[in-house]
Amino acid sequence: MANIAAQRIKREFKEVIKSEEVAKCAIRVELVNDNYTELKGEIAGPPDTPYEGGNFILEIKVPETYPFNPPKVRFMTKIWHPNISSVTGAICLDILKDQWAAAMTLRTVLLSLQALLSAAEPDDPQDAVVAKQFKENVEMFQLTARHWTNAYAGGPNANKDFDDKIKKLIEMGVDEHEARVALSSYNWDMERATEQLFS
Amino acid sequence: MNEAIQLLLKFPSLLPRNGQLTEFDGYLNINRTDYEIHLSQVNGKPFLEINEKLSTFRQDIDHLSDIYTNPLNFLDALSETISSKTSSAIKKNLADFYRQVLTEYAEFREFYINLQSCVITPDLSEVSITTLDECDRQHALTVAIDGTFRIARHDLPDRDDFAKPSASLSVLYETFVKAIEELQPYLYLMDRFDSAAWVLDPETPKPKDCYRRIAFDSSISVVITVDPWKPDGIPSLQFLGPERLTNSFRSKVSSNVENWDYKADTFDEILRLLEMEHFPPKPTLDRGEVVLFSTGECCICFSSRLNQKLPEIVCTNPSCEQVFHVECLYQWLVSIAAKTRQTFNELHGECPNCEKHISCPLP
Repeated sequence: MANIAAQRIKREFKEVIKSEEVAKCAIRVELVNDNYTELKGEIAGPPDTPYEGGNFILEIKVPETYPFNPPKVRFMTKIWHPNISSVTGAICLDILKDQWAAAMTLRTVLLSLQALLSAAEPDDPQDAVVAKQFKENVEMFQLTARHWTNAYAGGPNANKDFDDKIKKLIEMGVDEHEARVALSSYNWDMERATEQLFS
Repeated sequence: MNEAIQLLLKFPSLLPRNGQLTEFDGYLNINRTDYEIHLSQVNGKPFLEINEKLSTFRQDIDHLSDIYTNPLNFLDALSETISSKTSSAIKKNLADFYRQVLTEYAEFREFYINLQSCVITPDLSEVSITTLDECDRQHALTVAIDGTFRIARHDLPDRDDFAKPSASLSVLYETFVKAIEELQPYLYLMDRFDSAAWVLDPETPKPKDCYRRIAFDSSISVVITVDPWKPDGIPSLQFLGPERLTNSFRSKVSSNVENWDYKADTFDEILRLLEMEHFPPKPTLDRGEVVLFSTGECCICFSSRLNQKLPEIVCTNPSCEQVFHVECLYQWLVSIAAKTRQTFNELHGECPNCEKHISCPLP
């Protein structure tokens, strides 16, 4: 790893650890290996959003060309969000792409991601299915996102109706996650989800 | 038989193997070197077996064996060729030379009793001398011995007469000592900068370093370059920092410079030029508090020194004024090539901190 990259990440790592946000448990970062090329980030779901109460784990890979190129970040925790792929966790955020600036840091990236959870950009989607639901049926989107937060990120709000539907599909031999994806994609319409799963 | 006697006289360590004098064994001694020889005749031409020592003369041997059929003439010509080719390589008697060096070294040590240290390498190729000047500053000199004495390394600013070799170690040392004496006002001035100012660069100043980068505060600094041999002259001042600050210093200097007093103390004159009572002292930094990067550190690599260089470029946006290394900013502007354009030897693009226009010379 280039000299600059390692030196910078060390400083940034310290900055995050000492930051107010860590004190408030809003963000966290951990080392994955000793040479600072890979880190594990964690952000808390912002209050008054469907993600409230959940903890989302991020994979952060620091390229050798850092800080001239942005870090590669993706969600390890499955999440229902228009700008984050529900399959791969890939993120669509301008500062992680062409709007990256060398003065940005791990802390600003984590805070930007947290802000992205509170303010989705459905017009610049990463996950077309989620974005469509967000635009056409925002209430359904919020319920689904809250359910995903409960299922994968340790969120407190369980949805009995959704859980029952998933249980039914599991009884029919469907994998839990596949069932959840299918139901989420069809606004929790059992019939259409089943049709898709068994076609 | 005449030929056999001639041969014996000329090459006493060569023995004929037969009565026809076509095959010989033995040695040729040329310029104090023995060459083992096995000479025979093949197809009426002399044929010499080529061994390791003779291999450097392979071409000559091939050539001569074409010209001379008579072994005696062949050997004559060969020994002449080898002799002429090796004579230049014979060294002078080295023992005499080393005796000379040692005598010179012993006399030198006896004569200069106030040397701090003086060591000669076991192979007599270098003498290392350290000495103290009148202010107890240590100076080091290394003299290379290769036929004559020559200054190989020293810690003073360079001077033409340092390059001249000399037959005497003392003469060289005298040149060095005289230079140290001449440099005293310069060394004194540099010491005052180091003790009374916040010096950013060089990190560990040596007598050779005839400049100091002195910080006034975290955003503005000046590079003062002094002529070591004329330290009482007006030094060159180069201000680094945001323009609104450097401009005011530049105008101060240009209005005060005509009153420069060559007889007064140079250090005080510099302060007068800058309209300062004294240089601001180095702030005591609490490293524990500095988390990301402190002022004066490059906003891209988060360090002050990168490949021994300090950040030189300042963002001209007054609400930004971040500093950058030329190398870092250049690499940044290149990596956002879509927003960067080049005019002559400058790149123009966006500041990575405030996104306002910034320019950077090509490194």
